[in-house]
Amino acid sequence: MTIAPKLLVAMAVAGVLVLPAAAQQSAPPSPFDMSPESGLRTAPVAPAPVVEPAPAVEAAPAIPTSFERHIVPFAQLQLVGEDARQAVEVYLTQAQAEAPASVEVGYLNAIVAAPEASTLEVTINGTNIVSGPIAASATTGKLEAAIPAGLLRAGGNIIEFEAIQRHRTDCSVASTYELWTQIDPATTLLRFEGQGLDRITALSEVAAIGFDATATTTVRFIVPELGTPAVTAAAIELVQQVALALHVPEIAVELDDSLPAETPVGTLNVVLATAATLPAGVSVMQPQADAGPLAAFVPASVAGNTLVVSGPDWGSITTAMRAISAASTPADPDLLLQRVDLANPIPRVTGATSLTLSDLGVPTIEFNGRRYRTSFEFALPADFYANMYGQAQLLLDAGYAKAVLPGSVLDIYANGQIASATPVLRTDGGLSRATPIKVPMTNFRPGRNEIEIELLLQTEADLECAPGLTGSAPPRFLFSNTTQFNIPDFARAAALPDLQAFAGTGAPYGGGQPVPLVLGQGAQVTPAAMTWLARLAIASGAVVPVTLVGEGQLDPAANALVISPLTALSDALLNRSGVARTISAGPGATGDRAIVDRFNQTVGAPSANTLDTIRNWVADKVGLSPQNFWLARPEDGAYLPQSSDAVVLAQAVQPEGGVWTFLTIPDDKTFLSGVQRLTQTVNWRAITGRVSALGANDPAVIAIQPGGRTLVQTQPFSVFNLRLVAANWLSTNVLEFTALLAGVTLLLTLVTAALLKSLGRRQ
Amino acid sequence: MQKPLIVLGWLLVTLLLVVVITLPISLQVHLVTAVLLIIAMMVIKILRLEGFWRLLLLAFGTAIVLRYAFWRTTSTLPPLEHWGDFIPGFLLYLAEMYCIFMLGLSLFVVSSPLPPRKSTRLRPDDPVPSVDVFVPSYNEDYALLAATLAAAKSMDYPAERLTVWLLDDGGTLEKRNSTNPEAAAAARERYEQLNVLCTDLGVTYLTRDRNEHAKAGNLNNGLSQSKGDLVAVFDADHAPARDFLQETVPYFGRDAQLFLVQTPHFFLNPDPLERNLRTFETMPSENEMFYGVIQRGLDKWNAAFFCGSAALLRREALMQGDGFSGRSITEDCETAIELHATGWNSIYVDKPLIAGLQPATFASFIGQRTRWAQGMMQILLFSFPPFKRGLTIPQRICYLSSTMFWLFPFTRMIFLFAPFCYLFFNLEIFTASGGEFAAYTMTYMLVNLVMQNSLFGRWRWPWISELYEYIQSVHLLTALLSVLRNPSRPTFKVTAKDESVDQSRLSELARPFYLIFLLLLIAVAMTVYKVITEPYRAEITIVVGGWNVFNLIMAGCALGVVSERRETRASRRVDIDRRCEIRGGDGAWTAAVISDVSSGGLAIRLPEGAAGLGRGAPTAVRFTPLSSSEPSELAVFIRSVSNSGKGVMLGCRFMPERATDYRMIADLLYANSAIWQERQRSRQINIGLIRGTLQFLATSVYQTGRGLGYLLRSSVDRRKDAEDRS
Repeated sequence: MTIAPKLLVAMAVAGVLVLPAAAQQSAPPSPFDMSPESGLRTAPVAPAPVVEPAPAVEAAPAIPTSFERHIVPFAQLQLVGEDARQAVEVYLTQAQAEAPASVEVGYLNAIVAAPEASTLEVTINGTNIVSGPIAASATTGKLEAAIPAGLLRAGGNIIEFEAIQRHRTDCSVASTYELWTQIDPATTLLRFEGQGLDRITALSEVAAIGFDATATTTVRFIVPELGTPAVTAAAIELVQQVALALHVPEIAVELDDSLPAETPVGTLNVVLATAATLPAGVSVMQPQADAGPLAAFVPASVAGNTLVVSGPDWGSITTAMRAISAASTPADPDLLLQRVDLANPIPRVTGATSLTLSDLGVPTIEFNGRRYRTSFEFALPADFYANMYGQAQLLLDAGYAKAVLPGSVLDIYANGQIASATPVLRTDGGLSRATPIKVPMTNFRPGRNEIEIELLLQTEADLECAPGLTGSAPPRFLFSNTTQFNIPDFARAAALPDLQAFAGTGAPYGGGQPVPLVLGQGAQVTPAAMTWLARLAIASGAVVPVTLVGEGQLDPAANALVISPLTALSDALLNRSGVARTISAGPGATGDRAIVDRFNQTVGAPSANTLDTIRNWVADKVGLSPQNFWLARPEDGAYLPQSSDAVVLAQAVQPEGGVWTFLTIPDDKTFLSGVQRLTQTVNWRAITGRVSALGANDPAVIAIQPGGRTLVQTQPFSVFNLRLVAANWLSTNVLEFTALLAGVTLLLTLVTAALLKSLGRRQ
Repeated sequence: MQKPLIVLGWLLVTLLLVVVITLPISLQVHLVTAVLLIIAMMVIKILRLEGFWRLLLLAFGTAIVLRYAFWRTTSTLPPLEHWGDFIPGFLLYLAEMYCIFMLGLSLFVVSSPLPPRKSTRLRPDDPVPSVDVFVPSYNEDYALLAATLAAAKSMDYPAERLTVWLLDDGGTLEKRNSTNPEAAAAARERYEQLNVLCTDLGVTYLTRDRNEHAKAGNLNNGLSQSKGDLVAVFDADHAPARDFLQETVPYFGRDAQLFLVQTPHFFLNPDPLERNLRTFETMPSENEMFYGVIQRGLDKWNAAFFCGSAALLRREALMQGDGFSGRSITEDCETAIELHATGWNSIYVDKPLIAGLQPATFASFIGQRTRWAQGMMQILLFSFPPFKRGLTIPQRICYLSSTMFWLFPFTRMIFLFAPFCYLFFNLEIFTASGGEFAAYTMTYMLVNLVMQNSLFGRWRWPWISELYEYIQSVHLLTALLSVLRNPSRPTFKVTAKDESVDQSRLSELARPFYLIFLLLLIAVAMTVYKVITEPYRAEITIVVGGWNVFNLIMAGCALGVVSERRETRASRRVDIDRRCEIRGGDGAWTAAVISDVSSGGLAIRLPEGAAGLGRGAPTAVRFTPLSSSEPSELAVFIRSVSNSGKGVMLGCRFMPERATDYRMIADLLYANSAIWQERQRSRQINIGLIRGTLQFLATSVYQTGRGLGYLLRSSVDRRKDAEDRS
């Protein structure tokens, strides 16, 4: 499933008008406040955290009788290939789940897809709701169906789109890439019949906020006392809790002074204030807030979906905030927190594990096309340290029809990079069980990993390609979800700096201990920090509590976070960041040796000396990088940002031991937009190395690898782990292994010589 | 006190090395490391560094080999569920592990071979033990025995302390009274002739009533009839040099626990491989690796063993057991292991002190090797060396190495047929990608070659071991299997050594070699077919096909080995330069030089003309034997006269009539052991891997052609025979 940038172009060509989401929005709240205060109950007094739902308020006039929820959590969703599927999760309130509902899917497909052989199917919670031929190459097609009562449930619901597509004329593997169906996020929705269904009334239903037509979830913060360090820290913690509770990949944070008049779909207002400073719009909550910790939604009559987190003082507010965390605790601690864009279970793997694909949402399938593709995900811990030596193993249970020619290939991709290509050699029919396929763990990473299995089938019939074959070919391949993916025990140690582990798991800032955070001067610093830390919480699956400190209070021996425009960073702090204040003249021209080396390699510039030439040649031949052949680690130079609007994420291990991660930008005015761009899933997952930077006009994240990494112990000492850590370190540092082996061998020779002198006859 | 510390240190370092080697590092790192270490090994080898550096080279090699073994064990075996792949895959794995294990054992054995001992003599005040010389015989002919006995009798030793015994199993009462009248008559005639010969030479003839327990029984019969302190054993075709006893007896005075002094076997004639491939003059003989380095290595660990002949033993030790052990059909090694196990010592003297004959035809060569293989297998089964009580740990390892070596036919055959699993049956018995194969298997094989070459290069040229193993494996495999089925079944068969090939022909054992060659050829065709029709796995097909081509090269070379070249002479000439006189046509003695000698005759160089001698003329040569100061005459017959730059060359044939003639011939042929050593040294050159490989390839191409030519000719001959008969 590729999310193609071509989408908008294609839709424009097709002449589709995308209605603004707001047009279908519920009407503005009633001007009359009819809700009696008696409907609210006072929250119990601390210490018990409070989750007090405000009951839905009825009898508002001019309330629309239906409500639509967008269900595609991607800006674009394209189903490519012969059998493409994408599952999403939609969180519903109790009221929504009980209301009569229908599903609508707007889509557009490639003209080469044969309608008689192509089907689009929508499944909700495992039940097939609607399917129809894929026949909308000219204008947006629509699939509609009512959802049987009782199928939807409060909380998470899995909706899966599956496109079975066959080419009209072509039987080649290459032609399968021309088969696509785009699911239009704006016109693909759930429609609920009834009134007031847009209301969220309970904390546990926060995730039902959903997102707008562009798959954006906006969280507006109204924090009157923002600026006070403790309040800012609380706001930062709260945004993380809310982000986790929303089950979305990223959020857009806005700061407002007062409650806006309108709250569009996909937007949540969050008021964080003591009872005394509650803004005017939510003053109805004041009595409750006065009484004790409060975390509740305001009544519909007061405002759009607005969460008020309050209490008589900041201590009780902290208590109230815990209630929100409780609402987003994952059901299964062995699985990653589910998200709207990650509907399939993602197991956390911390050691030798055998994953059965059926548990990961992969179906058993009989296939008669030519390119079969499926994928699954799992999560690795932050201290995964086996990318240089380790091999996982796929034990494939699959059957091939006799028609399949032995030239067929099974490719396995790890996080988008090819990991293994195995020719299918035995096609004698029947299911062959547990065929082992080695999958090097080279591109495995801390955090979420995606493994894709792709089978390219060759048959005699496809070569001939008789008319109508694509639709009617007999099954050729059976993929069984009893297939297993085995991950061996792997080395565990942190190799810092490592922004990939940071972005993937929040390391090394997890663990629940408050992290010192320096906020620099700048108008956009606070919202940028909130956006960034919200994304970090989503990645790590838990809140990273912070304490705001001044630059002078930073302890170089402890981990810390720094968010500041470059201009506001002191020279001392800048020196510790590995980033320079100057902006480089052109692309690629940075002070960093790695970039220069890479540049030299690509343009074929002659190296400084013969030894370098040999080293680079060898590295190239065996598929390693010249860094793997360094005996001395070069110092990392300061990184020069490539443009003034480039947001720079940098991690540096301080000589004293602390790991400091910096989020900075040359131009303060573009800080928030830059961070929002960086936190988009596609960019966030590209973060790696010691510096990752993304300018407004950069097509992708620029990442700089460190010259050397510091190994930090993360697990209790064990010889077994030490051995694996050594294996990975020595696989990274080739010549060190040679030296070690040669050294020990030399030692052995010496003792052997001594031994031979003392044993046996000498004469 | 220091020794246990060193042993402990060694164990610790070894443990450390094992830890490093079993790190699951990546393929690339292994490849780079292996290449760097190979470069280091090459440098050591090219600079011909010895001593510590040699050990370092071996240690580097061992590290890479062990890394290969680790990888091979952990990530190349087919899954158990796919038993069709697994079973042959596991067999191949076992075969490879056997090779690695054997490499380890031989590294131990030859870790530091003892340097050759200094030449020694009995000093005037040394005690002079009495020596019985046993020459066991079964069916060897008169002339051969005469030469050997004459040589034995001429040994430099006080005559009153030396008794030479002919232990004749060909003239036993049982044979003389055979129910077959012809055989009985032949045995009686032999008995009488040899009795006369022995009387003439001053040798004691001894035979017995029944042919029980073969050679061991015969020797034990000799033991029971004699009482000398020491016993020397010479095969009937192994004639000792004059200094044999001088070089060996003194050691018994220095170590009261010494039971054996073994010396190398030196052969005057080529084995079938050497003869058919024409390598005898240039390449070290097959047994030189064993006698040149392995026995010296065993000697270091007090584990040099008795090889049936050319050895001196202590009667006391032999009598302590039951004489020569006869449970297995290799009584020599068995005797040694039993005596080692009771605390006796052995030494090895690395100087050829006997010269003999070895099997000339391929069939008798295989017969001899069958006996060795079966016998060693019996020892492995009967007295499993690792658990043999009384042996030191090094001795256990040494005997394990010596006996397990003979399992090679299994691995050779597995390596031969393994490629077929893939080429013909599409089995995947070795799961590795092309890259892994290059990084692990190629470096392993290269390292193996470099190590073998540095260990044995002077005594064994590249690929020759493989060739010898291959030509034996084809027939030895069934022989070994029969031992495994019934360990006590094989019986002693005497190897014929004095045969000659008077007509070029195919060996009677040649057929399987041609069949295998054909199979390999078909597999090559299959390789080409697969590469063309299955391009998606051409890589693996080429790797397996390359392995098959290697087998084909080996098998092609073997075709040459089983195509017997015509050769009339049983033994080759030995160059000697000895002054003599020859009786001219006028009866006057003319000074001349004996330039070379063989068991059949000699060549004489006359500096000034032929002295009136012509072809076909009987005459006599006169020279002084090394054993006396008086010149004697030897009757010869001139077969050829030729002019050379330095005068006239006369080719003469011996006309031995009396016992003294044999003594004279023995004196020429065997008296001076220095010549033999010279001859061996001239062949013991390490020609290096590259030259050796190229030379082997060239030999193989030529021999394949010759082998096929012989096949063609023999089938034409057979057809002609058939036509003639009809």
